[in-house]
Order: sequence, then structure tokens, then C-alpha cells
Amino acid sequence: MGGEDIQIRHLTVKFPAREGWSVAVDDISLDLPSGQITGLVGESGSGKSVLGMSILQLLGASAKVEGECWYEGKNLYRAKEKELEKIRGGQIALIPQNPNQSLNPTMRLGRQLREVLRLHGNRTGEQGRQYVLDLLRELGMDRPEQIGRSYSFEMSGGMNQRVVSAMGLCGEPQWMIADEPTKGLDAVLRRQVYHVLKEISENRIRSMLLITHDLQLAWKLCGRICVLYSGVLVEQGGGSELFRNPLHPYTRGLFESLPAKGMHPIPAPVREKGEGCMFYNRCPLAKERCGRERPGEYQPEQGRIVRCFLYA
Amino acid sequence: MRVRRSTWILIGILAILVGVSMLAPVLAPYEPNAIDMSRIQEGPSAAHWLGTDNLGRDVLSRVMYGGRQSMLLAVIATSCSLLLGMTVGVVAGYFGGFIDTCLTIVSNIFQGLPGTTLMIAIAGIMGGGIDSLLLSLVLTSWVSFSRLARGETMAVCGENFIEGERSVGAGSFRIIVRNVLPNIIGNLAVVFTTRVGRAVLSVASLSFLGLGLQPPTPDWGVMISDARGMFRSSPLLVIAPGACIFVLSMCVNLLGDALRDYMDVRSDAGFDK
Amino acid sequence: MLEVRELTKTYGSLFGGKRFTAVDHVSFSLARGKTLGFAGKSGCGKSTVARMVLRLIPSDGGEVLFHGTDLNRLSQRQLIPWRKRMQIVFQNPEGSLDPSRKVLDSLMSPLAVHRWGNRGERLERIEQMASLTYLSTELFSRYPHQLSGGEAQRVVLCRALLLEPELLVLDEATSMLDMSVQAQTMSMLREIRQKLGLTCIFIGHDLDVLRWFCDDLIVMHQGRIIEQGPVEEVLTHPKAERTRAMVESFYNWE
Repeated sequence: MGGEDIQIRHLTVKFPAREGWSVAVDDISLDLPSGQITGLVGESGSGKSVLGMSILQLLGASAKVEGECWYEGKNLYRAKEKELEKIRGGQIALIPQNPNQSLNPTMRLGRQLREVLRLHGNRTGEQGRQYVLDLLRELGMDRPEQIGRSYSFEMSGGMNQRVVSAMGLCGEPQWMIADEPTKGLDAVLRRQVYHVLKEISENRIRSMLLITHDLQLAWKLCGRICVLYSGVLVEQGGGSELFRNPLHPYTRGLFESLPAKGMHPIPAPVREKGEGCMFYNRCPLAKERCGRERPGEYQPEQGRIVRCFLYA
Repeated sequence: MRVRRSTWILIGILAILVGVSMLAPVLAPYEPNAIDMSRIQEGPSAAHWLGTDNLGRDVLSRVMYGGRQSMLLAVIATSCSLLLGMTVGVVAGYFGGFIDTCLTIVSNIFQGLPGTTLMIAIAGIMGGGIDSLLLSLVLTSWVSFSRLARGETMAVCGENFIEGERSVGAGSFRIIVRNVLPNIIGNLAVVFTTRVGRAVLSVASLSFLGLGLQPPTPDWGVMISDARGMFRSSPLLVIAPGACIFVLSMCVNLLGDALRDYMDVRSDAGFDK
Repeated sequence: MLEVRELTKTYGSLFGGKRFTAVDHVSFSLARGKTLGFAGKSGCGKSTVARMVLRLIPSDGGEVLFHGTDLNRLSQRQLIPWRKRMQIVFQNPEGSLDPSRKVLDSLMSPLAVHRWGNRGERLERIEQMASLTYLSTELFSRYPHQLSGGEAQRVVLCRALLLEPELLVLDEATSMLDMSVQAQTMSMLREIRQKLGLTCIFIGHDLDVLRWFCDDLIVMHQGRIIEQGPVEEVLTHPKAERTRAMVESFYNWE
């Protein structure tokens, strides 16, 4: 159940843009410790999905990836396609963004599950079937025997999420990456997804990377949270501490904009972007230095890292 | 938007083919139909680069002239098909319901008819000639436009912005012209290009069968048809127009594919979505 | 200002068979300047109600009285002058703009449909509304896919406001947006609502957002209204069993 830590070093991801390159991830170094859920939090354009997908080399061919990603003594960014195929699903599973769209609508769910078992599992026949049924039951499905003959469109989003998760777990991976599991779901489904992920993390895979813009979900699930803003890792810290006392001005603004806190927006850019901090143009606490110089990583408390001169 | 080099090469070849055909009256060394019984089925020489045919006509000049009518016909016929198919498809897709059902049934009937056979039948019944050729080309190819146009229209109409237009009070005609057509025209253009390539082939095959353009018109299909008995003695008589048909239809088709690639790339859209 | 009585919508197959009731005898009224929220699971019929109120889809029964006129009885042509008095903003900002047309072009269209002023006056009006929705004029020459989600939604909103509507329907207008962008858009909406004295219908599933933006709330389930009343009242002291469950599942995940 353990697996090793995933260590990302100096990751930069660029995509070709109209003129030159557009940088999606800007020199991020990050440890994803095994045995707990790490949340990668940020808004669209922050680079969180790009970072997550880069681990399994699932970015399109146009992406330019620089840096290293170490897992079990291998640099995944340099790994051959053959090795990657073994790692995907076998050691690191991905639960994709939209469960309804990740299932084949023309194939019964039972057959799709069997296919995955055949590809990854070491179990066959009755034994494999039993394993999947147990898995589905564990994920909170009442009568998993009945879903075999159903199609994905007959099921609710929450049910499909369970099926997709079960598929990811068939190969008994050590790690799991969940990409925006609650995007576009209503409150009821969102709660179901939360329970599925919680169930998995408690009973199957403890090492998980949760990519999300859903702060509440991250807060509920994650032991450690990393906040991204335009490709830069602005803050890291333990889940509950970070939520109790956010340090970076962007993180604070993000929390203030939660509906439960009265939706106080982060101000629109008030000044020109400088050479320095990415958040300089919107930061309410910006100093002259922030526009000139990039803040380094500071450690105001044990286990917390923040990229802001306020803590220099 | 960057255009790949291979696409430029395609465009170049096409430009040469079209340019030579258009300028044939200036460029061709001989009259395409000038008979010279003293030089029959001669091989390539300095005077006749591609030799002469069984009536002593210069093959190079005939090849230069030979694309003019097939290309023109192919473009005209495909344009007519596009207009007809697009109108039917957009109307069916936009209004839906009973109109859609009727129009779809009609399209399905045409879809079910075997293309080449239908073309031969129409050309056969009406006799050879340009009008029957046009008619048969249009009747066999409009369905591909109407089906595509219908599907695309339905997809576009499912988007909120059409509902938004309607909520400000815009009428159907305005929405079709200003919102639906601009959004489907790109995909139709791709099919148009591919279809032109196919129409060139159809014109050539019908002419080859004696149902299209008639001799002595200098046309690639007609030329191959005329020369088919002489393939052993003078293979160039078949190979030269055949190569032209091949290169033209291949280039047009590849261009259609390239066009499709450029169409569906919103290259500078956001990446973290 | 708006009174809806016994509004009903059923769907069925072409050849009869059992019909599915999407909206079942829904009645409510809305006073000028108030905001009415709709909550409920996805598929409970709340969007269908909104679309029927605007007559974007025909209803199968009931009345929609807007200033005392039953919109259901008007022909499409008679409806045109009423159209500009009510506007809708959809959930998906990118899909709400024609991808083949530049922003300014899309913004011109409502004014052109209603033959509003000349080009100069139209531009002036657009700029006026753009400043209200914090849209920079630089965006005017862009295509929709070059906009961020928040920018696209502001364009849509600007466009909806051009004709000075009295009633604005927001159909999950911020649920696809990021948290900070949602906060931005919602505070902007509240500001605009106050400035222009808009009457709003707000459909959403985030109870905190509904609480923050609405005066009254209607909770729907399977096409029926199961509870309605002042938003605070409904969410703090829900009477119906399903409303209680909804509030419970929203605030308490365990």
C-alpha cells in the first residue's frame, strides 16, 4: 500500500503560443509524500492539471516538458513509452475528470471492467469478478452485481465515478491521481465523490494526488495542500493549518472569495505586472520590491513554505 | 496560423496544373485538334515532347487542354451540390420536426443509390453531354453536403448562443445567415475540396465510358478512352493523361485533408481546462 | 411584475406512450426589484421553468403573465418587443458566444435586431454597458476562444444588459467559473442589479451563493415546487423533507 514518494524537480512545461511559448508550469519543485493525500489547488490556468498530467506523460505532443520527476529510482519524464504503460494503471492510476465521458457508452460496464482486469489485474475469472465486486461494495455501491449489465448512461454520475475508480484500482496501483473529480457536479454528487475518494484513501491507496479547484473538497481530504497561481507554487502546507491560517495573499484572497465567506473577490489587476512575483499586479499587500524581484521560498513555520516577501 | 511546407507543395502543384490548363491556349505548342496524318503515333521528340496520337495530334498540347473542362465541370458541379445540399441540410437541421423527417428520407434515398451506377444511368438516359454530366454529378454528391450540413447545424443549434440570439428576438433567417452558416462553412469547405477531387475522377470515368465529354474534345478521360487500344504501341498516350488525373485528384484530396487539420485546431485556446 | 400560473411541460415520444412531466403546475410571482432563487438537483426542472418564462421553449399549459400580459398567447412576432424586456445568461460562457464572430460583433447583434439607433449610438451604448460589467474595450476585437471563462461570462452579461431588460434570468451563470472569478462576477451582478433596479431569477445549486444573492427561494423536485419562501427562512428552517436533506447534504458531508 505504501509506494514511494514522487519527487518533482524544476518542472517547467511550455506550450507553443502564437508568439513564442506560453509557460504553464514555471520551475516547480515539489515532493509528493506517499501515504497521504496531497491536494493541488488552483484556478483554471494555474497549471495544476498540467503538473498532474505531466507525471504520467499525458500532456499532448506539443507540450515541452523540462525537469525531472523521480519515482522508484526512475525519471518519469525520460521514461520510455513501454515503461510508462506499465506505470500507468499498474503503479500510478489516473481517475479522469469526467466519469460519464470516460466510459464507453456502447459497452456494458461489466465488459469494460473485465477488460481492465485482463490488462492489469493478476486475477482472472471468478476471482477477478469477486475482487471487483468487493471493490465496488467498498466504494459504497449497494448491489454491485447489478451494474454489470448496465450502460454508463443509465447510471448517475456518482455511480460512474465509482466504476471509473474501481477500474483505476484494478491494477492495484500504489498511487492515484484524481483530476478535478468534482468539476461541474451538483452538491449531492459532489458529496458522493467525496465519499468515494475518502473510502479509497482509507482502505486502498493512501498515496493520492488530488487536483482540484474545489477548496472544500481539498480541505476535507488532503493532508497536505499546494496552492498554484499562474504556474508558480505559491504556498504549501498541512491541510488544516493552511486553511486555518493561509499565508500567501493569493491564498487568502482565494479563501475570502468562497461563497460561505461572503464572496469577497480578489481585486482586478491594479498595476502593471512586473518582473517579480506573479501575483504582484493584484496583490493588496505588494511592495515595490515585489514588482522587481521574484520571491524565493520561505519557511515561516515548520512544514509550511510560502513564496512571498512578507515572510522573508 | 502556420501552414506546413507539405501543404505549400500541394498548393504549388495544384497552381501549376490549374495555371497550365488556364493558359493552355498560350502555352500549348500546337492546336489540340490539329490533325497531321504524316506523323501518327510517334514517340517523344524535340518537336513533340510527348509524341503524337493515332491522328497525329500533339499529345502535350492535348494534355494541356485536357484538364480545362474536367476541372471546370468538377468545380461547377460540386458548387451546385454544395448549394443544394447546404440548403437542404441547414433547413432540415434548423427547423427539425416534420420538415427534417421529409428531407432526411429524401436524402436517404439518394444516399442508398449506388453513385457510379446512378451516374451511368442518368448519363445513359439523357445521352452524353455536359448537361447530363452536370446533373448526374450533382445528384450523386449533394447528399454528402446535406448530411454534414444537417448534423453540423443541429450541433450548432444545441449551443446556448443560438438560444441567446433567439432570446433577444432574432428571426430564423437572421440566425441561419449570421450564426449558423459561418460556423458550419469551414467543415463544408473541407468536404467541398475532397468532393472536387472526386468529381474530377467521375468526369474522367464517364468520359472514358463515352458518356461524358465527347471526342474530339481534348479531355484526359476521353484521351485515355481513345488510346486504350494503343497502350502497347504507345503507352504515353494513356500514361500522360492518366498521370494528370492521378496527380490532380490526389492533390485536391490531400489539400482537403490539410484543410481539415487547420479547421479543427483552435491552436491558441487555453490549455488548463 | 411577473406572475406564473400552473406552468407545465411534458415530454413524450413521437408516437405517444407515457409522457414525462418535466415541470408540473408551477406557480409563483415575482415583484419588481426582487430576486427569486431556484434550487434543486440537476434535472429537477428549474432550467425548464426559466426557459418557458422567456418562451425559449413552448409550454404545455399555464400562464406567464408579464406586466399582466400572458406571453404564452402571443405569436412569435408579437413577442419581439417583449423579448428585450427579459434576458437570460446561461451556465456555459463559451457556448453562449458565437465562436465565429468577434466579441463586438456579438455585442452589436441584439441592438441590430431591435433596430436600436445608428452605429455610433450603438457603440456608445455598448461601451456604457461594458464599463458597467468591467469589460475592457480591448476584448472587443477578440474571438470567444481567446477569452477566459470570466471574461466570456462578462461579455454575455454585457450583451444581455444592452437592451435594458427589466427581468434578468441567470441560469447557473457562475457555476462553471472558478471561485475567485465567481466571487468577482457575483459581486458585480449584485452591484448592477442595484444600479439598474433589475428583477432577477437566479438558478443555482450552491446554497451559499443563493443565500447571498436572493430574496426568495423556490426548491424544486421532480418538476414540482416543494418549498418556497424567503431564502433565509427556507435554508435555516426547511419544512419539506427533501429541502432538509438538500441543506443537510450541502453543509454536512459526513
